[in-house]
Amino acid sequence: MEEERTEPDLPGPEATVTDEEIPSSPALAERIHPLWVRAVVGCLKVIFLAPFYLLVAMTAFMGGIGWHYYAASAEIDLTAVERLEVGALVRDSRGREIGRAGTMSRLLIKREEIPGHFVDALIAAEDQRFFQHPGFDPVGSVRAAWVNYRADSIREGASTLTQQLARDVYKLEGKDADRKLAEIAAAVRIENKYTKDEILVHYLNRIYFGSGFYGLGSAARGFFGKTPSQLTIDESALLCGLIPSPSRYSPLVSETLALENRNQTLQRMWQIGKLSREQLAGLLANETIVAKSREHLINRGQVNYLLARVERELRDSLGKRPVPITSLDGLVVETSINLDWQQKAARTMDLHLEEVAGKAAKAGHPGDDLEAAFVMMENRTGRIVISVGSRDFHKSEYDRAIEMTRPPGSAFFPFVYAAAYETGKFQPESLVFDAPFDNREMGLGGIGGVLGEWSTENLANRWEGYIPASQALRLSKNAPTARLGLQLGLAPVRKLIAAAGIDSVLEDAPGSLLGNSEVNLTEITLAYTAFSNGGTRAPFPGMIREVRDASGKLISPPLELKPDPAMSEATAFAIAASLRADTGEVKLAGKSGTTPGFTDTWYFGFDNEHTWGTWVGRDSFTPLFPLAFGGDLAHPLALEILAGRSSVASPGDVPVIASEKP
Amino acid sequence: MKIFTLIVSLLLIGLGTAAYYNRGEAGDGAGDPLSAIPAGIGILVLSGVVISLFLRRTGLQICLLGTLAGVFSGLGRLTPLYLKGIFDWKSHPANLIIAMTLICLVYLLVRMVTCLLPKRSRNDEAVASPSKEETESIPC
Repeated sequence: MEEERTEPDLPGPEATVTDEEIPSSPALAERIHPLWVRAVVGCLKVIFLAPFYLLVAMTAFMGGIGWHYYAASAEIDLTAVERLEVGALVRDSRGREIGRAGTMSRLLIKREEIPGHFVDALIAAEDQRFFQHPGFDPVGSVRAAWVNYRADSIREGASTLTQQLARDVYKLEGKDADRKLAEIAAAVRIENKYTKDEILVHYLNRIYFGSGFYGLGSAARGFFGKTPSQLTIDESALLCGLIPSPSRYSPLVSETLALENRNQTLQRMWQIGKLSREQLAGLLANETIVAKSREHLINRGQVNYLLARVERELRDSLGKRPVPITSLDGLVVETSINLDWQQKAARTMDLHLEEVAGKAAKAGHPGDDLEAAFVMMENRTGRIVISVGSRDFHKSEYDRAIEMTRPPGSAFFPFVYAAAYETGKFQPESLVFDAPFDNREMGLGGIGGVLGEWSTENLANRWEGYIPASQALRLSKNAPTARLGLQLGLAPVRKLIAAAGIDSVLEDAPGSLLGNSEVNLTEITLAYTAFSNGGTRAPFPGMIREVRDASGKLISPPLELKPDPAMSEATAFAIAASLRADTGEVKLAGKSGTTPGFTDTWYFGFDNEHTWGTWVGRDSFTPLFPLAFGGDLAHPLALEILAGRSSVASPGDVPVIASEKP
Repeated sequence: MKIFTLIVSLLLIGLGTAAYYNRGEAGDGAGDPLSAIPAGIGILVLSGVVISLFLRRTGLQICLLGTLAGVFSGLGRLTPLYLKGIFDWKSHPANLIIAMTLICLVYLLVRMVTCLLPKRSRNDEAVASPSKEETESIPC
């Protein structure tokens, strides 16, 4: 566009019109401005124009990226925001409703049920410019970055409520830039479609408040036994303080952290003018009480645990179908779980561990981190009737019944004897030698004391000499079992336990013959069903009996293959006979187990209907306390739980429980 | 050069308008204001042409800034297309963006060439015949 232009020889009136024009001809310029003026102008051009162009280019580039994400987010289904999954209805073995799997059993609320002070607390804690921003908040982001920089830690998040909603609806968890940009784009789309009040309601119906409570309605009832409209200011502040890390800050997990976060929220409410100084002082002095009794919480925890477990099993099972089913909505699931027994077992476990903690404290060991797990399954089918994977599901969601592997110690002996009988070289009557034996030959270490150098299994330190193998098993003798195992080798034992359903691999070390290799509680309980089933283990350790769709049509369960026998009927009978209780009507058999360092104690048993397994220990692999035997810890726990079973079952459901010594 | 700038601006306006009304084949979808971004850049360049009639250098700067924004926003728009992303980026046709980026890039390159080459020759000629270059110069 400059071709038509003609430069004037000298600056005239038109030069003032086009005063931005800098004479480009060096000769002409020299005549108009001295060199220093042109140098200054040149520098100014570089100083101002170059960064300006750079800024425009960078802004355009970032804008281009935003453009891309926003355009792509046009494909997302915005109605998903208001669609909460109905989930699958889960029933126990007696047809009673346990809850809904896949939906977190929410109690949906409406806008008018949310008190004003809760909104104030939420805004103060999570998104102070919620009612101003269009879904994302650059001002808030900069402020959060500055606060975090000053504090040298993450104090404030930069995500708005709408972004959090988008993250939850579209499963955009993760911290990479791609997800963050997608989250912002989705948030802007949501803001375009819904009002702020609607966003608030959808957000509060969805988010997790910890301890298994999803949505404000469920959290208010679960923590305080109230409806949302009945919440007080400090209760609202406590709930809002949980949102950043609900699993850690839940008052059922840590009252201290919950109160710290409540106080932070109250202070922010004061900072933004929602509380007066006097109100703040009064509320900070308040002790927010979580209303529920321990029994109620344990029962509630077991419901949450069961629903999570059923959901996992259900998704796994339905995902393996020729045409996988991904949505659980409308399904009706019948389980083998007895909810009464399950909850009673969890409460019994909690009380039992309190007793054990007392013993540990007397021995100078901590008692607050004791854990236990219990599994009971039907002998014939393997369907799980009770499965308690954690002392308190609100505090720890780690499922020790199926996720944890630990050395079973002497509870593993029956498989060594069974493998020995299966070779034909040993019989229950075969004599084995019970005399001092150095456990270091088995790679177990130890230089003295119980379960140490001389392989004694109890305080009496009594050696029996030559005794029948069946008696050695019944008395849980280490030395003869070690000698028998060394003659036998690992291969036949491995073959037998694989057929019995133990997938964990035995370490290639002689200590594995004495139960030093780690196994899982559920799989070893399943393997014990081989003894109660005449040599063949139960087919499938699961909770689900049948699944029907919304129309009542049976969705066939996965094909259950009948497993091959793990051992002969004679061997199974011989082992069961060795494990039977001595007294009373013989309907119950079992075997306890203890690891050399007293870190894990076990008890496995069975009657004519069920097989069960119990573990007591610590997650940290540290000793429970000196001389903590399975017979003293896990065995009584199992008996207490079984007593609970008989008390809640109808007469005739269960056999007489004989008292048994480990 | 004015004619060239005019053509570029009209091309961009045409591209954005077509994308806006045209079923999303070339861009982000019919009726989506985002599809009209190239047209926005075209209007900016066109306004630069108009302004240059009165304020030559300001108009020139506007044209340059507009096309620079076109190039970089296009590059920004295209970059995630070739990265693994949350959304199904591949279903978004890139023709509109590529066309806009190329048009703007060509304009910028032509601008740079027409600026730098005459300036160099101007400097050379200034030494030889100072009076002649004053009427032939194409200031940038």
